[in-house]
Amino acid sequence: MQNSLGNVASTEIQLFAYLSCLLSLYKGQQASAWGYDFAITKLSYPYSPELDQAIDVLVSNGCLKLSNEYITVTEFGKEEYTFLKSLFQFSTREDFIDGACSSLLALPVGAIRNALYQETDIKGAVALAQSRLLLTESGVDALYEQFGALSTSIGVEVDDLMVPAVVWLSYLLKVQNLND
Amino acid sequence: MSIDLEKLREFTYEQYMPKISRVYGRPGVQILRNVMGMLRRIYEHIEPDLISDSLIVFRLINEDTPPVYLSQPERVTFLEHLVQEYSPSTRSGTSAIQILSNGDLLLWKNVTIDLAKLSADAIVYLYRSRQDYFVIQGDEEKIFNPSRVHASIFAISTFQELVDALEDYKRRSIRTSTCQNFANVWHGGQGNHRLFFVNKPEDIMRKSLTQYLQNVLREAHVQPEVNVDESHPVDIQVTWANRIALIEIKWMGDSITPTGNFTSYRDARANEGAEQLAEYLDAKRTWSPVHEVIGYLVVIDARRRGITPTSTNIDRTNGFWYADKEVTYNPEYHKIRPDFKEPVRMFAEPICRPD
Repeated sequence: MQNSLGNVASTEIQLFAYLSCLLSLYKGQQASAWGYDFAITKLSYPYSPELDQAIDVLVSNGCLKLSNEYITVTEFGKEEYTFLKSLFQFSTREDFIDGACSSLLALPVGAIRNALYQETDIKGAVALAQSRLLLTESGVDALYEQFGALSTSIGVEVDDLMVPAVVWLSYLLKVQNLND
Repeated sequence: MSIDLEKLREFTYEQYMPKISRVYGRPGVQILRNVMGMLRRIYEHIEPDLISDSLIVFRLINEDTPPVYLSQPERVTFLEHLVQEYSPSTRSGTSAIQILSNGDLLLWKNVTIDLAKLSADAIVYLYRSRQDYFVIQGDEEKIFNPSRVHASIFAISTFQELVDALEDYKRRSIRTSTCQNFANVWHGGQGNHRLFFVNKPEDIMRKSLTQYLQNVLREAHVQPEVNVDESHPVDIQVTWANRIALIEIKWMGDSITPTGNFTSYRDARANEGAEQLAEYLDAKRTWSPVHEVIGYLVVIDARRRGITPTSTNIDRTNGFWYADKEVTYNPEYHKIRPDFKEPVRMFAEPICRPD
């Protein structure tokens, strides 16, 4: 993200973490396997308090630098990241995160956010001004259906998850454009 | 919004990324990443709207050797130099840029290229007439661009601050009616002289600015017609984690109704908008106590001097008479309220007859 955006806001980290989690669903994983939940709150969406805490910890230990509410990775942070992604338990997660963040190569960040806000789970809760968990059973079922349709043309075993990410986001944008 | 799964399947099959993946495999998608990244960097230095013919940007999948059927290129090592080598005055015909594996570029100007031949073993991007394509085995696949303002999806600048985005919108979209949405406000269509608005152009203006902000603003959620209280909607609400911006849009100028009646708005209309926005700010603060709320008045200015409902053209003096004439506000809410930003006037230029 830093390569595409320069400095990054914590809300953007939340957004792309959510998109990464969705890509794990594309690969057939359970939402619960991601390790932390996302929610819609009146202040921000999507939002994970665990992720928020983790960002605070990384800023405290010098992996991330916070300046005027924007975050950059320090050299120490890059070294830590290189080590962590070599660990087996994180090796598949790297694919999801890379696929999500690489969507910035094809779409501007505002369009990505706008597309994710059209996702049924988020859009419904925002319309009703509700604060609630995302990726509940009904929300996940709808996503599995959509990703099933995507994988018919792309394939579940696609090497680069940027491909289904960009196609899905583009479709959501196209439908929104038609409805406007 | 429920998703039509069959339409999603059809859409997916036709998209350039899955096609590139099918045709060129994993190496092709890797090269595609590199090409897209380079396109963004190229368009930081080159405005695609100023490309009069076509631009091809390509990277060979398996090698760096330039195609033998092309003449000797210019080598560009620093992107900043591209502006000089590929300046608007030297652009005629189709130009092509090859991306090398070390990041250097090779530039050809006024060249003829067989795209079917080139795309046999290269990832080929084509820009022509405000449309992006990837050429896949000779077929030009259009790339969907959600922005009606920006000529290329790879040239959409992003802004952290709303005030910067509004300034960009003013210069990029309104001044010369470049936004494809905004261009529909003109009576007589886009090719007309931009003397009058259509009847009630407010919806078009709101849609234009909403869509623009959705694409360029970082971190913010942009929504049109959001209620500030139980019954009054502001034109656009922009929401960040801890603050909200209310944008009220007013226009000045003349509009023609379908029956040929003339509606004229001048400074008083802008002042009405300021008063309305001040009321909205007070109402919103009651309903959103945890957010900081800031108001922005956007005034689209198409005032023309000396026109009548039967005018069909205008000279430059009268057409640009109001270009630099600011609105007088009374009261000046932006000076007496910290939550009311200075109004932004956006002058929309006419097309004038030669003097």
